[in-house]
Amino acid sequence: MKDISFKVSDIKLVNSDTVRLVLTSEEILPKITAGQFLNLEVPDNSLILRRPFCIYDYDNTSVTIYLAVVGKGTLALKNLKKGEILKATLPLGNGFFKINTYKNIGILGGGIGCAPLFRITKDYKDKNFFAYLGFNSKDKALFINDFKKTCKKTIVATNDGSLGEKGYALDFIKKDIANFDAIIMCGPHGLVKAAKETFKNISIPVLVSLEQRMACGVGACLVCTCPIIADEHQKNKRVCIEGPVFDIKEVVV
Amino acid sequence: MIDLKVKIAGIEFKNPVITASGTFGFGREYNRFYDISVLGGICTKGLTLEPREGNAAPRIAETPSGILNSVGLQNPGINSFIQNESMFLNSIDTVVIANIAGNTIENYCAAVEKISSADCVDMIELNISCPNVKEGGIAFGVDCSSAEKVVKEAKKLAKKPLIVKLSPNVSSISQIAKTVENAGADAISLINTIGGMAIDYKTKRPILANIYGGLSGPAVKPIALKMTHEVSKAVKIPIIGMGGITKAEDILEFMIAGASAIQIGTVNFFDPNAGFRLVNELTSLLKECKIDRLKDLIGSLIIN
Repeated sequence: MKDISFKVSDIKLVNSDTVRLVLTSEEILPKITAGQFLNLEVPDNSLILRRPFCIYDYDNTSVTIYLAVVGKGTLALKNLKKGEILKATLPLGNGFFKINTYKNIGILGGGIGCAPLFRITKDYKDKNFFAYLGFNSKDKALFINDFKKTCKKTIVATNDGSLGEKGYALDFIKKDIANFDAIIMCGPHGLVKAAKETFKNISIPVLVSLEQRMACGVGACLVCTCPIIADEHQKNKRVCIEGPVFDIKEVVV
Repeated sequence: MIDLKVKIAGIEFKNPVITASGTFGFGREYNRFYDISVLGGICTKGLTLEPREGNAAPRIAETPSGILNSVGLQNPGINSFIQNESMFLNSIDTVVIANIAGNTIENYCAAVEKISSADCVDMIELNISCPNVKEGGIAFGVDCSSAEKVVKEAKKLAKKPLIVKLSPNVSSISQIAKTVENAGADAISLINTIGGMAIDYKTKRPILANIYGGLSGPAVKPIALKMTHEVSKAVKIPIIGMGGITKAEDILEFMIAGASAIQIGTVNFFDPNAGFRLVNELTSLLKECKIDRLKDLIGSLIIN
């Protein structure tokens, strides 16, 4: 992990509250793996904490992130202009683990939570990915064309039926579960909670990328903990350094 | 050659920059960003006799130019610390201060006795000011008679110099400072966080699971400076000042107010290279101000 200066090389509003931000560095970036995140400076001196974002895509010198405008920090980031400089620490967290041991992998994403799942479908060309992406409505749908390029099948579900299937992505992946060796997922708390219940009796691993309010991002401050069952005991583990990916069976929701 | 050295209770620090308890783990995380031997010292995450799981999350809320935290002393316990961190800390060329917390006088004493046996520890910081635990911690730091008792007993067992970390959540910090000085403290560090709260008006709920937390960051600096100055007038033992330090100018201000060294806390969270940067910036600033010896600045405040 390293603290790196980035220049905003592209910024675009992709729907009413989601921004696509491309950050480019003059130096070669440290090796990043799918599912890792970065901790990004906010261009407002009164907002002192950095903000953690998963890395959607990357190459040797640039990273692409998607951010939902949910508060003052993300609003300040939305107003960034091309050419502005800001720092980010990366790569953070463990990313998705043991992917090589699976062949057919179900991808379950909810809203902006689909973002950490894309790169894995791009990296493992010898695997078969089947994506189930859920959104509130057509105008909030994201990433679909990218997943269509990397996945064998991409099912889109919207709550109101304005795009793809009507209903929840979780219900559609549930029907096809027999086809997969593992499921990889990310999404809002409600989805994680529902998935924990839905998948409680299945034997395949379900890896979930969690989100938590964070400060240092490197394991020092202990503020981003979540309760995890380990060796039959509940422990507070750090999402930043012991996660953000956990087996859903261990996650307490 | 600029002389950055300072001395506290017989221990020499190569510079006054010490990382504050709870913001720097046991040093390993930030040693990946820079060689932490450049620091004057590091203060460990608060340690207790037994492991603690800490409070429920969310444990952090951002407020204007500050943060509220309510970690609640999550730590692996002193035994695990000694077993797993000694070798690493012995390999680092900096002063190691172990921050110790407890919930009864007996518990504090047992913890102090145990940590005194750790060869990787140079000094002990007695945390009588943690605002985020139900029992102990701050309860000892807001009342003169219990502060006196715990410091007196801890001092008997401490085989290393004893720093007492004070809470700002009191009506007279000078009185508490005088009390702990009389009880045998070798130095005082201040301030711990200031009690605070954040509410989400949309959900009508507190942001922190613990409801209340401790405020730190640039927002608290004026309060910390005032308390450093007040306490420096009240006691003769050295003071380690902290609260919102983010740049070298802040370090000089704390030392002018009366601090012999300083701690950096919240800044580590938003600048992982803060310790390294501050040591360098401090050297440049002293050159610019034509000050050869940093310790000449201690308590040099001019009034009228």
